[in-house]
Amino acid sequence: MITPIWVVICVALMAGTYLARALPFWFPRIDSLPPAFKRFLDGVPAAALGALILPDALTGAPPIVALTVVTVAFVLALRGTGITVIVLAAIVIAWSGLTLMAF
Amino acid sequence: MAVIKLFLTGLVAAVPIATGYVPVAITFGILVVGTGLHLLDAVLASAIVFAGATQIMAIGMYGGLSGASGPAVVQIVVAGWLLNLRHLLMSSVIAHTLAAGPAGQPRRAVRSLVAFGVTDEVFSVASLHAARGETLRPAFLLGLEFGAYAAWVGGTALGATLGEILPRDVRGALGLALYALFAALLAGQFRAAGEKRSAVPLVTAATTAAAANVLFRLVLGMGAGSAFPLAMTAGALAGWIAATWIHDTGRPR
Repeated sequence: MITPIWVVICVALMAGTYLARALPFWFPRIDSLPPAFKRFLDGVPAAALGALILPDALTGAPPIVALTVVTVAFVLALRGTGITVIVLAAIVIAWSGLTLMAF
Repeated sequence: MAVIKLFLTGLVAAVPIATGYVPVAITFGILVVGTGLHLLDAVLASAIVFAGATQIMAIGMYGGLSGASGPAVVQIVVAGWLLNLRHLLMSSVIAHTLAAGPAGQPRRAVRSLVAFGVTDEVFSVASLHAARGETLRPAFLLGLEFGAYAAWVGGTALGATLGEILPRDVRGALGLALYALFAALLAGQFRAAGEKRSAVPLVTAATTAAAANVLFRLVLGMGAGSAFPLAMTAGALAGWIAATWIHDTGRPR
């Protein structure tokens, strides 16, 4: 089973993403992009992640549980822990926290 | 034969990428199913978009907007395009390196295929090989990309399958795992920047975007879909200003 509206989103995302990937291969004479544009683009993923985390991380679940989960994940990743361990730890902490809060 | 050997060398070079992709892909698969979509939706997304951060952002927004209306679709797509503009940079570097190789410019069909598989991680490994003085061949790149792609799509299918058998109360915890994943990816960005000079613009971008999004959403009462692209742009602009300032003044060391 597929969800038509989700497929529309995916196809549109693919089109834009593929264009960004392929244009430099199709028109190799376009010389390297201006440094100012590069500096802007370099910050885009970090900016996106910042806006994805706040405020939504703290509005859905009990804030104390959410804050713990996000902080632990951030600190572990900063110290070089693998993503598998982080996600599993997050699920365990979130599940225990939510279960405790339900009492 | 040389082509097959190069492809296999690329495939071997993809192993570190694959081990990084699988857990994230599994998480993505679980999240998609947890949002109420199906296994095929998850696999389709990974198979055609093949851009981790974008897909996770898209499913996060899709779940957050509770059902997708026309405007919601546009908001998700615009945010995704903005996030993926950076592929222009990576592709232009790889395209130049390929064209400068001994065999000259590969055929357009080959280039179009190589282009599909360009991701941050593929770019890092390819740059590493180029920095060691090895020539980048299309067959090597295709092997590298295929390994990464197979891990991404396979991991997604595995995650979506897992998601369908997980009990309900665990799924509630998964909503928070999404934000753990975002936080981990952000910390990974800071780590990858290495020295302070390169990390400062990223920290500036992330905190500005987060603050802007809180302002737009909680103070100005804007909807999630319209606030997000604006907050992301504000953050990237702040990062650009910080990077330019550091570049011009040489601070901070």
